[in-house]
Parts: sequence; C-alpha cells; structure tokens
Amino acid sequence: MIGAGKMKQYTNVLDKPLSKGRQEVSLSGFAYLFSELVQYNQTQVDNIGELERRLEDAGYAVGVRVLELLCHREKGNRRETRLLGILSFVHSTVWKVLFGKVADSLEKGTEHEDEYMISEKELLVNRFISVPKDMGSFNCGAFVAGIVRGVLDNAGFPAVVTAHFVPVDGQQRPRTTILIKFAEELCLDSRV
Amino acid sequence: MAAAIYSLYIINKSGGLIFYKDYGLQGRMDTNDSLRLASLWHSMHAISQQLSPVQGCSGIELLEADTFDLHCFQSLTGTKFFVVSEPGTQNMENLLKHIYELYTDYVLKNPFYEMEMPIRCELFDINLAQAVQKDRVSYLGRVIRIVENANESKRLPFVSMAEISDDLDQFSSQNWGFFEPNPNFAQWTNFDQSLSTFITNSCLSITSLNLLIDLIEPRLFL
Repeated sequence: MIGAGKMKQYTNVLDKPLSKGRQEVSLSGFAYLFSELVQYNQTQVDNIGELERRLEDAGYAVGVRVLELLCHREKGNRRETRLLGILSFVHSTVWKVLFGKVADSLEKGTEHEDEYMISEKELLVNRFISVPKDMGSFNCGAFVAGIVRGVLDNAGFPAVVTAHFVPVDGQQRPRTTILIKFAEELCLDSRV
Repeated sequence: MAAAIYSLYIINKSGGLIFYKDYGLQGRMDTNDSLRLASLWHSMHAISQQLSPVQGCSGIELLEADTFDLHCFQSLTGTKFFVVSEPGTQNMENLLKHIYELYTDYVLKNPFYEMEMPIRCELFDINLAQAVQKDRVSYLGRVIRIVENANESKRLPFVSMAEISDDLDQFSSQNWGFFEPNPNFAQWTNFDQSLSTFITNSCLSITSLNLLIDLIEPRLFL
C-alpha cells in the first residue's frame, strides 16, 4: 500500500522494547490454564505438601521475572532497600499489575517482628476453585505465595512465604492471608 | 415463601445424575429414585428427538403437566439441566442458562472436579442458592410441546393408547399395508419400518412419562 508506514522488524527478541502490551487477559482463559497447572501437578505428586511446594515453585519463577519487569517499567530501575518499601511495592504495584487491583490490606504481625501479612478477600487464582474437604487446608494461593517469595528473594529480602485461609465471622468463605516471614539474616528482630 | 422451583437436576452426557437439589418441602428424594428419574428423563429426551414430526429436533424443552412443569436445557456438549417447577413458572429458560454459566464457572474451572462425576463444589452450591432465591411464580395448563432449534413449535395432542390405534386405522386406509388393529403390538404384521419405530417410541415415551410422573408427583406440595 502506498504511504502506509512499516513497523520496524526486530530480529532479536532482546532488542524489542518492553512495551506495556495488552492490558487485558481473558479471565476464563487464565482460570482454565491455572486449573490445568494444578491438575498436572496433582498427577506428579504423592501428597498435599508436595503439591503446595510445586505450585510455589511455579510462582517463584513468575515472581523473579515480574520483579525485573516492574522495576524497569514502573519504578525507573530504582532498587528498593527498605523493608516497607519493598512490601508496599508488592502490595500495590505487583498486585495491581498481576490482579488488576491493590491487595486488600498489609499488616504487621503482632507476635514476631519479622512477620507481615498481605490479606485478600479472595485471591484471583482461587476464584473458581472449591477445595474438597479431604484435602484439608490446601490452598492454591500457594502459587501467589511463590510469586511474592520470588519478588522478595530477588530484591534482597529473603523470606518464607505461605498462603493460609483465615475464617471470618459472618462470611461463608474464609479470607486468604499471605504470611511473609523474613529470614533471620535481615536482623529485623534487633530493631526497636 | 412458595418456591417456584421444586427441584433441579443435572445429568451428564451419558445420562447419569451428577447433581440433584431439592427445594420442595419433602426434603431429598431417595438416591435410587433420583437416579431412576434422571435416566428416565435422559431416555425420554432421546426418544423425543426421534419422535418429533419436524426435522432437526433437539429434544424436549418443556413438559407441562397438571401439577408441575419440567423445563429442560441441553448444552452443546450434551449435558442436560432440568428443573421441576410449579405450573406456569416464567423465566425458567433464563434460569437454566444462568445455571449453565455457573456450571461452566465453578465446576469446570475447578481443578478438583473430574468430568462426568457427581458435582461436589462448594462455590457452585453457594452461587446456585443465590441464583435460585431470585425466582418467583404464576399459573397454566396441559400439553406436550416438542420444540425444534428455530422458534417454531408444533403442538401434539397427548397421545394415549386409544389414540394411537385411531391413527393406525387412518393409516390403514391410506394403503400402508395390511395389518390388524390389536392392542398387543407384538402381533403387527406387514407394517412399514418407520411406522413400527413410531409406535415403539410412542409407547416407550408414554410408559416412561407415566413412570416419570409417578416419581415426581407424590413429592409436590399440592
């Protein structure tokens, strides 16, 4: 066609600009894909703990990449050095990009200095999932816990992250809490 | 709080009952009875496709009796959703489509659900309860209506044994071959193959229909 501009063709994927890309993804598409991820892992393991670990590992891989991408895109390549900084990064920016909204709340644990909790009424990944009674306290949110662990680990804040269901009075469905327990080497206990 | 809906059934493509919920006042039906009802309906639905006078019929969508209505929705995959409701309840088709949406969301996207197995999903139950709460009542009459994919409908009179033999007398006068009207159908001779299929199907559906009504009716609040 005469006059039509030609898009610059990149031969190497590393030369492509990190554009924002499409903002929307089909929820049903993601739900089916995630369901298949869980089903696939179920066939590979013998017990529930293993299954949670596998989901977490899958999430970890996502977390690593999300941290790199968002540092470049959203924060202009600045590195977080403070604890609260990285936590609010996870709580707002990461959640907004991945799930379309900021997390419901970020709380500091009362018993220990190094524990923090991000809670959510219902995680996006759990939206269509009903865990059968015989699986006990298994939570597919382990995937999200893995994402958070990936982000924190690679930002220099090693932590153990787990997902729990917390029953709430007056509501049929429990809320989900992502519990972050930072590693000892961060010396958080010594702070006043 | 008269619920307009008495009960909801979901059957898989091979006719097995995968979900049954009762909203009537008599509590849950006996498991064997509910399984029987489901397979009865599955076979009747299949027979009706053969029985239909119009081409391309997709099966029974509505069964109207004196004391209840039975609305059925069949998905493209062969899963059937049907409700037994008070006669003349409006809007059941929309409710069934909504329930189908809930099924695709909370059952099919659940990694712990095995296909074609009984549904045991908490989220599905919760959302279904919310959907059914929103439905209400009205009143009507007595006919079997077989509807094809397009919006046309043909009304068939309720076929009784006597009426079949009347029809057959008519057929005999149109040179369909030699046969004798006889209540014992096994003794028909020289009849056209499609006619015999029609008779068998009609009788089967009448018998199944009577059985179906026997299962449903005693449990309704009259």
